Amino acid sequence: MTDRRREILLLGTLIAITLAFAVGVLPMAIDEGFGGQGPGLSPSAMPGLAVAGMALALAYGLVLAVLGIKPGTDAAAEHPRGAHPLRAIGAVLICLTFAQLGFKLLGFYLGGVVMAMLLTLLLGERQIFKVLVIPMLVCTLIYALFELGFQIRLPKAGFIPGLPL
Amino acid sequence: MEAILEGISLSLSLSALTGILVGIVLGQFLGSIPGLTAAMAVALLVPFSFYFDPWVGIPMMLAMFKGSLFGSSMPAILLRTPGTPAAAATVIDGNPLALAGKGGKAMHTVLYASVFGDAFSDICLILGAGALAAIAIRFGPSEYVLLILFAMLSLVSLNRGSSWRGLVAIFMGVLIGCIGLDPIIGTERLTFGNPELFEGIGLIPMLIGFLAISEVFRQLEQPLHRLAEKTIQFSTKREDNHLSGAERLALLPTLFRSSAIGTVTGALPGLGATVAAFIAYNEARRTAKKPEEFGHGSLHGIAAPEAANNAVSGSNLIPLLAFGIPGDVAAALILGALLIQGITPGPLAFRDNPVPIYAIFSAMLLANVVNYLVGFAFIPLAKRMVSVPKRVLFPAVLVFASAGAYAMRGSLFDVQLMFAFGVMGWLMGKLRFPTILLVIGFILTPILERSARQTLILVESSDGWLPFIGSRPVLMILLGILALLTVLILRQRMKMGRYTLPQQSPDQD
Repeated sequence: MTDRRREILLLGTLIAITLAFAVGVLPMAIDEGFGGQGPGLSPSAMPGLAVAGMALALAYGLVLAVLGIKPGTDAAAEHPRGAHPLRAIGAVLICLTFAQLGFKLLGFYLGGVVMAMLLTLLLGERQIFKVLVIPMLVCTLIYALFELGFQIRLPKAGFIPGLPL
Repeated sequence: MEAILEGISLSLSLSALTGILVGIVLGQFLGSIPGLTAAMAVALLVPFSFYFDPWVGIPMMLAMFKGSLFGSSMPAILLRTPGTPAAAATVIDGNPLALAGKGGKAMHTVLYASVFGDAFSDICLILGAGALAAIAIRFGPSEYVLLILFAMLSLVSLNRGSSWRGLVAIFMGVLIGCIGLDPIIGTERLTFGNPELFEGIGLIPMLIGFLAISEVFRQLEQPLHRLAEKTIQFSTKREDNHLSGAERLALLPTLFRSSAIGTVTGALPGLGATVAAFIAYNEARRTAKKPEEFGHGSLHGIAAPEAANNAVSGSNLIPLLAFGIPGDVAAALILGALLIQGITPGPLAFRDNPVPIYAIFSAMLLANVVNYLVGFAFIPLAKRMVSVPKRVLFPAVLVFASAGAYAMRGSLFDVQLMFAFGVMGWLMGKLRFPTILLVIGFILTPILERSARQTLILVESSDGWLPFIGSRPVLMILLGILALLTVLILRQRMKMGRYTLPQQSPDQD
């Protein structure tokens, strides 16, 4: 598939998503209250303007793509197509799992240590010291900084009542 | 005169100097931690300041704010992770320079520009607090709407890629900024019944997610051997780690212009350092002899946003000290600390009890000198801090970011949001959308919406737009200036040949 076709396909998909959001989600997700009748902007005005702006910008992009006119330097150099997206997807899954469950179950300290160990392994580190000791040291430092330094109570382990970590 | 001398001697006391030194060191250290903003750093110190003598606590807080602004640029340059939104513009040129092995030069540029901008605005604060505040205080909601729309336009024109991608990103930021309870009538918007979203999306998870986590995910796609390499390789050549006298001299016009932008922007309550940094960056690029170097490690591209965002820190105290009105979150925190210590800033303070005001002015100038000296020593340490392999650093960054996102509101939901934004930013990057514009759109939305609503109510009560504009000379002048600047920006963009037919330049995109 050529770059131009890929661009048209992307724009078409994004326009469809934006329109579906504007028609299907936006009216249901905003409670107008009584403000919609009063002076000034209604609660839905700013989100509506934002979605309309997105749709117009996408339509403009589509016109440019169809006509074969394209801008010079989109941040392609900053975001090269990755050689190993699966590793990033693995990291995403680990992070989301710990944000959703891990920190609640294990507490921040233990959860952080396990999360850091899994990520270090995922990134190809195999030395025991770096896989085990560095995550423990880092998490101990972070825990001490926030709990003792800033007096911010981080989540504690839920599975052992009374565990201070 | 007597009050001025008394104020200076107060700020030169051992306790005040100790406060300044401790504040700068703590500020630089805390600012360099991704996710801990300058406002957070000052907020953390406010309760402690009560236990100190006023002339330890107040200089320490002012110094901490200055130190944290400089410190927050370190992760922006070395990790592409701005410690505060104001440092986001520094990433654009700072990170490419660091990736080219010239991280030392980039950090010295930041230090030079930060201290220059800070000192410039402090001097402006001292010389013209009353006059500048009098202009800023005449700005109403309509002037704010105009300024913000202009800021957004210049941000889209700043985008190196297609303007439609920039527009989509900025509108998406506005949409995300609308999540939460309506700011005026309090009805739910896009919360889907989730009470965690009633207060809106937190700035910290948004910032860390889009600017730091997405970058980590992007870099994780690299081959394993690249992940075993050090994060940033520093060149061993002296010229790559220092800023020469000639380079310092060449940066002066950019520094003066950017400091002036930052000073004026800082005097306007609410606009803040981020807007100043981006406007200054755009102006530097617009007036540069080699605009094509911007985005690829230009020293002017680093110096402009740094001078501007640091210049804001001095001038945003203008409305605070002259009128008792805090211009932003950090100024509000400083106001709280001054009140704790029994000092009430405002016009009466200048007349009735000017010594503390002059002592604050003097302490701010001294803090700049200390910031430069401590910063000079801090740079080699910062270089060492990031010279670790990515596969060891990134897991630590992800855990630290989780703690930072959790700390602000004590909510695991913010940690989940942060990672969700990280994924969103990573995908946007793959589709070549500029995530920085989304973040800026998000930051500007509350003030834009509030001002737009107030403007419309004022227009309705003025019987239409023309009588409304006609009754506001400041708005008319601003309209003229911004229209002229808009034309100049659009002309510049057209001149740079952004739109080219693909067959003419097949290597592009």
